[in-house]
Amino acid sequence: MGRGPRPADDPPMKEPVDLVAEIDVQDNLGSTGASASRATNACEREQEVLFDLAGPVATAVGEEVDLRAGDPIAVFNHGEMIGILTGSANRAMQSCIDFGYEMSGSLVSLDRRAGTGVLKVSGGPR
Amino acid sequence: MGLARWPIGDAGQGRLFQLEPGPHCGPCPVVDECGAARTEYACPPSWSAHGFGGQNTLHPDRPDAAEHIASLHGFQLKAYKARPMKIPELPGYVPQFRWSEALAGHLHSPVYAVRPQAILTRGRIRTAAEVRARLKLGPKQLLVLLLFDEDELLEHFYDPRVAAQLAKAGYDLVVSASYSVWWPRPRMHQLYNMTRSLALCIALQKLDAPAVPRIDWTFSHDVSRWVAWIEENPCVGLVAIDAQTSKGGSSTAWKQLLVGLEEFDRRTGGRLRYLINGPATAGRWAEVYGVLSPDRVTLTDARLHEAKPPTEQEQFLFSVSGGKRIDWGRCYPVRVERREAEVAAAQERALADAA
Repeated sequence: MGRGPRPADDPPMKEPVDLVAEIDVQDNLGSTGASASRATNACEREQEVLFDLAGPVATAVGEEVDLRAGDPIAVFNHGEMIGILTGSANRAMQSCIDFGYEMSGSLVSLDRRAGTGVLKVSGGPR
Repeated sequence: MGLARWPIGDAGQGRLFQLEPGPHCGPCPVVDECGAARTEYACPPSWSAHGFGGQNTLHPDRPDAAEHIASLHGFQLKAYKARPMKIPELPGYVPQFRWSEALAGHLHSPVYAVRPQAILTRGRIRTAAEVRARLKLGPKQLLVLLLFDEDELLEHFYDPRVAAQLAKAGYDLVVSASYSVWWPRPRMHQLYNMTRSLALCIALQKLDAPAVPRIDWTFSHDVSRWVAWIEENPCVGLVAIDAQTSKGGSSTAWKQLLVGLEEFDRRTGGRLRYLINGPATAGRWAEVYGVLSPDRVTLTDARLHEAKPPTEQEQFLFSVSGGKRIDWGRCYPVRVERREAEVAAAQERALADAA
């Protein structure tokens, strides 16, 4: 609340968060006041999601994937973890999983040099 | 009122030779936004025992500094676009109250300000409707939520879910949080907190809450940043300033605030309205009205709650209450009326002096 001299330490800093972007993401998912149906639509709709590869994994474009709860959310292919979600994609998928959706789909592309890939996922009832 | 100089050396001001860039300025990714490279603000020459702020300040040496900077768009205020909001008209003085049921039925002013301490309860936010019902406020009495409080409390609001709760709480006006800009502190931490104040304001606006920005500065570069932001966001008509901790008659922080205020108002064309929290004496009001036209200023302060000797009116209330302890609920409106009259008189004096 202040300015000028102060004789005490500051409170602990929070994790970095882009508050305005978070509001956008949550609003798109309906968790900040928009209707629940909007959230449902957003989670059930097929969407492309960027993810980070977990090393030199043995998988290929077209393979089936599913997302598993955690922070960050893990990307699994045939029971093996092949990567993680980051940033806004992680937060968005986290919200869908929190809403009770099981998120699954397929691998759209892989860039092994960059260590990233793209998934196409949508949510269904758990 | 002539306030030409900043009280702490600004870039090149009063120096025979320019200062060298600060030790962290070379690789700093936000050196332009910062503007402190050749000033004493880059790395202050002397630090009080707690001046560095402990472990919880943002400093270029922190391993997560880059992430914090990125999360706030490199501290660029222009990354945050204001939306036109319906902002209520405010009188020249807005009293603040704390959460006390003794006040129920005794609050008759057209507008009141409340602070986080009054509305945070058991991990949730009291809605304006709850406050109105509990304190027997009428539907036409406006409630301004002033997010000026201890930083520990304000941190609570920098969270998308809490911001969403706040936006739905139904306050007539929400003034964004005054995350502290202490001096000395690492310059990066000051930028971090000033930018977070704006980020919260814009987040609340996105959620359709009638939020207004809190602005602040430590030196003229900050004023320039805010001026540029106002130019890019002409829909902003009201800004808020927290001067509560700028205490003392010769306070450097107070002078710094006034010099910046004069410069900011002049450079924004004298069109904005100001909600200023803190000044509670006739001398301070006169200084504010010396740099801002009184008809564009709303003052507010929390000092009405401080323990003071009872006034004559309060003594009268004491006598008619049969010698029981003074009824705070009945005394509070007496203090509010007196403060409203004092502020109105100060406004009139300032206008007469100007004429």
